Parts: sequence; C-alpha cells; structure tokens
Amino acid sequence: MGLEDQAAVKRVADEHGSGVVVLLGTPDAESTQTLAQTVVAGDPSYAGPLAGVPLGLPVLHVFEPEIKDQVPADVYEAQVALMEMSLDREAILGGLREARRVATTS
Amino acid sequence: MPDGVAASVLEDRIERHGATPLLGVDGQLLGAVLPAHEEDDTLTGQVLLENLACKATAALALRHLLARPGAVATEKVRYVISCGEEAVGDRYQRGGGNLAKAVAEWAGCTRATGSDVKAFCCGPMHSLMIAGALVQSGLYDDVVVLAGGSLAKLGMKFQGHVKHAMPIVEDVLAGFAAHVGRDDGASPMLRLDAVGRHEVASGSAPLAVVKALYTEPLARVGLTLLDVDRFSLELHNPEATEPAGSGNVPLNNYRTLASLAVIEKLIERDGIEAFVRTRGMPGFSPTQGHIASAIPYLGHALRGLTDGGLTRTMFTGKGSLFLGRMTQLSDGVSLIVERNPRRSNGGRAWSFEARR
Amino acid sequence: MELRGKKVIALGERDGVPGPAVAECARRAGAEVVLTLTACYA
Repeated sequence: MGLEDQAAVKRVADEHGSGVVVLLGTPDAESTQTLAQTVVAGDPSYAGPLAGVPLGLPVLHVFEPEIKDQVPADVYEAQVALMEMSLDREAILGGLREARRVATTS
Repeated sequence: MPDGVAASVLEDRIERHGATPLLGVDGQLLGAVLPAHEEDDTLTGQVLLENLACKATAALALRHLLARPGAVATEKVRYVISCGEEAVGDRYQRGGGNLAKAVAEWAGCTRATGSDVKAFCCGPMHSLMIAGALVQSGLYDDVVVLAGGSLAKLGMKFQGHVKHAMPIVEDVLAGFAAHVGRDDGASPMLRLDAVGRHEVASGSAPLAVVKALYTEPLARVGLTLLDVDRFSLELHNPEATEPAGSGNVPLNNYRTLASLAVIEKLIERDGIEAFVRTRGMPGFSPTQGHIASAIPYLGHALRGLTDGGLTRTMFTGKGSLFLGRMTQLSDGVSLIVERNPRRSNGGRAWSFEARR
Repeated sequence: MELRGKKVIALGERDGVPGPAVAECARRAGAEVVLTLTACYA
C-alpha cells in the first residue's frame, strides 16, 4: 500500500476511533493478504506510516458471504458480481483468513 | 556526440549547480543532467531526463516508422499526436506539452505540427480515435500517433524482483508510432462508428464499465463479443507484476471480459477459460503504463487482419485518472480495428514499432 | 460482522472491485464510508 494511502488510513482511523472497519476489493490472494495485514498488524514491508503500527482494524472483503448478505442484491449485482465471477474468490478469502490468522498469532 | 568532460567537472556540477548524477551499474559516476533553471523545480535534471527519455524513444519509433518500405513520406506527415506520460513545461506551465512537435522536428517531419493527448494509460486509444477523426474529416490525410517511454516506470516493481532474487525485468524504455491514413483498400480500418467510451455517468461499477466499453459499442453496429476474434487489453507482462504481488492483470481483465460474455448469455460459465485462451493473450509488455495499454498487439493485429486470418480485433485502454487526485473516476476507450472490406495483397498504411 | 452503523474504509483496486464500488456496497449495507481509495497495480 502506498505511503500516502497508509497515511490517509492512519489519519482516518485515529480521527474516528472505534467503529472503523476496512472493506477490501482486492483482486487476488496475495494483495488481499498483504493489505489486510497492513491495516491489522502494520506495514509488512516496514516502509510506511503504518510500519510497526498495528491499527488492529477489522478487515472484510466484499466477496465474503456475510458481506454479500448485507448488500441489496441489485447493488451487489451492479458493483461486485462481475468481479466475483472473474476473480478467484476462494483464493482471495483464503488470503484474508491467512492474514487474520497471522494477526492473531503475532 | 560532443566530447565528454572530466570527472571533476561532473562533481562540480552536481555539488554546486544541482545537476542530477547519472550512475552506472557499479556506482561509477557516468554523467550528470543539469537543471535548466536554478529555482524552477519543474526544470530539474530529473525532470529533463524524464522528458528527454520520452522524446528520444518516441522519435526513434517515428524514425523507424518512416524508414519502413512503403511508409508515408516524411513531408506528408502534417500532424503528430503524442500520448506519453511526461509533463513538458516550466513552473508557470508545468504540463504545457506539445512534445509531439519536438519529436516531429527531431524525426525530420518539417511540415508537421501536433499536440499532446494526456489521458493516463488511455492516451493511446484516445489518440488513435482522434487521429481517425482528423483523417475522416478530411482535415489531414496522414496523422501519426506516437509515444515515448516512461523513465519513472523503469524497474517499477523492483522490490518484488529483488525479493525473489530475479533480474529486475522492467528494464526497457518502449516507444511506438502508428500512422493513420485514408482508406487505401488494403489496410485495416478503424471503426469510428463503434467507439466505446467510459463516460462520467458510467460510474465505477465494474459491470457498467464493461458495458460502456464493450456491449454498447458492439451492439451499436449489430455485433457481440463473439464477433471479435481478438481483444487487446492491458498487456503488462505478469512476470514483472506477480513477484511484486500485483497479480496477472491481463488475465484478470480477460476473465472479466469472459464473465461479461457469461452474463450476456453468449457463453456458458465453463466457457470462460476457452474465451480467454482464444480471444485473449498473455501479457508481454515489459512495462506498465500507456504503452502496455492495448498498443503492443497493434502490429500483430494489423498483420493478422491483412495476411492472417483475423476479421476483427478490439482494443481497450483504461486510464486511472484517480491517481492525479482531481477525480475518483477511471476512464476507458475501446476501438474496433477490422479487416478492410476491399482487402487485397500488399499495401500497409499502419506501422508499429517498439524499441529498446 | 454487521456493517450497519460502522465507519468503513473502502480499499478498492482498479482491476478488482474499485473503491467507489466497495463504498457503494458499504453505504447500502447501512455503513458510513469515511475513506475511499482505489489502488492501481498495488
């Protein structure tokens, strides 16, 4: 994640305090895991404003069934369905699970 | 080339005049780029180097284009459109532009003028469309669309390559030049009646974007996705992006297109792989950006649409305008390039060059 | 996790689900979107 984007996420998280949740639209397992880890446990590349700064934010992905269930069907169809079909959903959710696992064990 | 200077001169320029050092692979000082102005940070050595690299690679491509047998005569090139990603100007006009004219000058196109089209990675598609419209209108008979390489994109994904102990593969500055001219009875045709556009109101919902770029323009002329033999989309080589964690962008884009075909009931869901394999291609552009955006396939398409078995190809560029922070929007343009209905052997008005 | 009432940071990807699309989903699920970003070849 770019340094400016990291700074923006940190600023917003600090500003709003509790109740902040990250929702991802990443296209593959690796980018999902990396981004999820960054906002939970800090920047894995140790380069940005989030280096060593664990925000501990809950991370979700729009492909998760529990998220899909909360979005009106026609909205999901227009905004997400096409990418859900073309991308590897299972791999992406796997990446998310792995990031969550790493975050709870570190 | 002029004579070189002593190392002490280089060091003086770097230390006391703000020159940007040029270092060799082993760290040896090879040269320096002087700024054009002491205070203007849009004319630093770094900026000038970027702009020169772009100019040089664009001009090289243009000279190759003009040197091909049967190419348009240099003096018949009256308008040049440059769609690179550099910003030529000074502090009072940072992106003043018209690198096109500087390139035309260097390539000896004495009767040309030109302008730059700036549209992020979608620049080339916008430029080809505009070139087609200029020729169609009768204003010009021969327009050249070109672009030089982006210095900033050299080694862009280097961290991933170093991490995996592989060579830094983005080591190419690419340029291209394409001649757009009047119907010669043989060259493939640009279909100006079927230009696909991502409009402001199209929004960023992925389904709406692909409908604007594919469904709508094809339907406008009575066609579907299945009437296109080959699609040329983002063609960045995944060998550069995958080690860096950025995935395989061409494959993602082709799978998205195939998914649209499923949604439109043109193919079954299990037909996605075949669609991708037969109508797509592996990414093979050595760098990201405007050059990788559909353009690398152009020469191959032209060959396929003349001597080969292709009837219709479709090129799509996408621009990440949001990176400039002036909008959250993306952009996209698609163009259909078809076999000339009166196609006979020989005769080409198109050329494509990519040079290291 | 329920999105309703939460403050969402929407992190999209140009070649995945773009930021504004993620944000729209969050909004329609009852969340407030406090930041929308779209990465390009992140």
